[in-house]
Amino acid sequence: MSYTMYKRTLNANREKVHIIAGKRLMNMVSMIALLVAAIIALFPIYWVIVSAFKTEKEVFIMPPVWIFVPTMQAFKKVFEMSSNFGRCMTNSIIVTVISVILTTIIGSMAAYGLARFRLKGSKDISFYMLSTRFAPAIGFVIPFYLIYMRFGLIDTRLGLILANITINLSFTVWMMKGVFEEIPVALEEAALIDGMPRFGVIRTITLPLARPGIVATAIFSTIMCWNEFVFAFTLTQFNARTLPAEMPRFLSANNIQWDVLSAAGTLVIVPMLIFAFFVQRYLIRGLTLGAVKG
Amino acid sequence: MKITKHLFPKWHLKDKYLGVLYVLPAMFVLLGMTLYPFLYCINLSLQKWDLFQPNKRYYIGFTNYISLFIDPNFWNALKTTIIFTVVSVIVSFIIGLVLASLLAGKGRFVGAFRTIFVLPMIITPIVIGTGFKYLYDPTSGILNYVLSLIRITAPAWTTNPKTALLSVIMVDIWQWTPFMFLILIAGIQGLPKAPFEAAACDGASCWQILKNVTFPLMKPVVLIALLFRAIDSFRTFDTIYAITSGGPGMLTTTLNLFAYIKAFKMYRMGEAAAVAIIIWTIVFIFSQLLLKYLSTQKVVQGK
Repeated sequence: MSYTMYKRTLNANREKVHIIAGKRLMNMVSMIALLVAAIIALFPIYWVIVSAFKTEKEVFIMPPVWIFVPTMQAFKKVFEMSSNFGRCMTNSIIVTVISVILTTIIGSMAAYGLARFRLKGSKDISFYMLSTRFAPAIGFVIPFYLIYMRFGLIDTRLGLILANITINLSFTVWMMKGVFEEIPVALEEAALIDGMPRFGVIRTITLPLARPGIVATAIFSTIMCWNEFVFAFTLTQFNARTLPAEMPRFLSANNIQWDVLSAAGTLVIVPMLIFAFFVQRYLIRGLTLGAVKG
Repeated sequence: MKITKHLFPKWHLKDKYLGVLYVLPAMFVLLGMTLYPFLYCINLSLQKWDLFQPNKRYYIGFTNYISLFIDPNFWNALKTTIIFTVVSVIVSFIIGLVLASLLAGKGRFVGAFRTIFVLPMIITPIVIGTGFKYLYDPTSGILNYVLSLIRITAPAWTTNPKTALLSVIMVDIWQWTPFMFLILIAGIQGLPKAPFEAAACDGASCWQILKNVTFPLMKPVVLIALLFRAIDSFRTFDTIYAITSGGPGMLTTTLNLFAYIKAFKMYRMGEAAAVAIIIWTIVFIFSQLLLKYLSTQKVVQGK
């Protein structure tokens, strides 16, 4: 090997080392950026939950207290400040469960109809259903309020359930339509030709295949119903109040008790944190009406 | 197909009615619960009806709309809504894009970050609002404490007229940057390899690849993300209500809050309905754009 050749390979190696070092640096920088983003995304949630276990004094102290003896005082005070909080919990659960079950049944049926049968104007129907996904809640709430007043539905669970079904139906239909379209028609046709009745085919062939999709859609509806605020806040006062609608009560005082506010917030969000684990894969699909499969 | 039709003519007849039967309940609910309220709302927007005097209710034509159009508060609310939506969508898009491109190619981390970034989207929005109200608090909030550590004298975020709108926009960005990130990472991961290899073979420069290959391929995902976000930001109510309730003054009153205040604080149902119709019209135009676009696009699939 001549000297120049040797020099050349050495230089090339040095360059390679530089490139690798540069890549490492970029990797470090991007990992730090991602870590910061993750901390920013998590911190407010962490802070709400942590503050719920602090004492009245600890939530006001600056610099903030990081290590402390957890106490359940604030949770007790939640139920003192809002004597209705227990009822709100039951309401939230009942309204969510019934709305989700009904939405999923009605929505899946419509989705099956739209996916499997060539109906007159089925494209218009699904288009109309889809556009209700984007309707602003506040636009609905004004006519709902007046119509509900006339029919005595104000402050009833039934009224709230109807409202929740309305807002969740569109995307349930749309998502389930996608699910049913992915199941090969041939499977059903084969069973139909063999003489199985349509309902039997749906029960034994279609539904088992569609189950993951149904579960994902239902979980997604559950989150939407549980979090729903505008309707619950305006259409209920006491009897049918849900947890999110009760939250502003803790804001109304002039000096807000942060520990109580955080404790109430924690009670509202913890069920959804548990659900988050199950839906992470379907969330983007749900939020974009299946346009993007995350 | 023809043979089955011939063999089982009755079935097809039955099935046809069956199909209608399946769709009927959903159609019934949607027509009853969306079309009827919508028509009711249009009708109401042409009337004068204050709930203080529930018996005085009469048609006044387009007066509600005209009085809105000469009301500076309405235009302010519209301006606030547009600023809120545009800033929130653009900033969350940029941050989401940066994060997505940083994470692209680091397959094993995507799962972990996906789990983390899902959280802001599914946490009850009203609790996000109350939580941020605490963070923003000038005396006991942690944000100003952190800023004071790096020697920044921060304002009272939510009550200072200069920062109030910014403070609610930042919450929207916090809440929805993950959405942008997750859509964009799905888009990036779903990019086909072949066009890039072809471009590299032809000796295209980085910029040429970015301009002529990456952008056109990413366009559907980006448009979907932007339109979805724009419509949903436009509808934001919960967080703003919790943090500022539209104040100070009317500085954070978006059209949604404006309609809410008209209806449930001032009890002017006719005017509120007119605002609702205007909101509806704007959202309708954008959602039609999105839906037209969605129906022409194939599904974008990430790994």
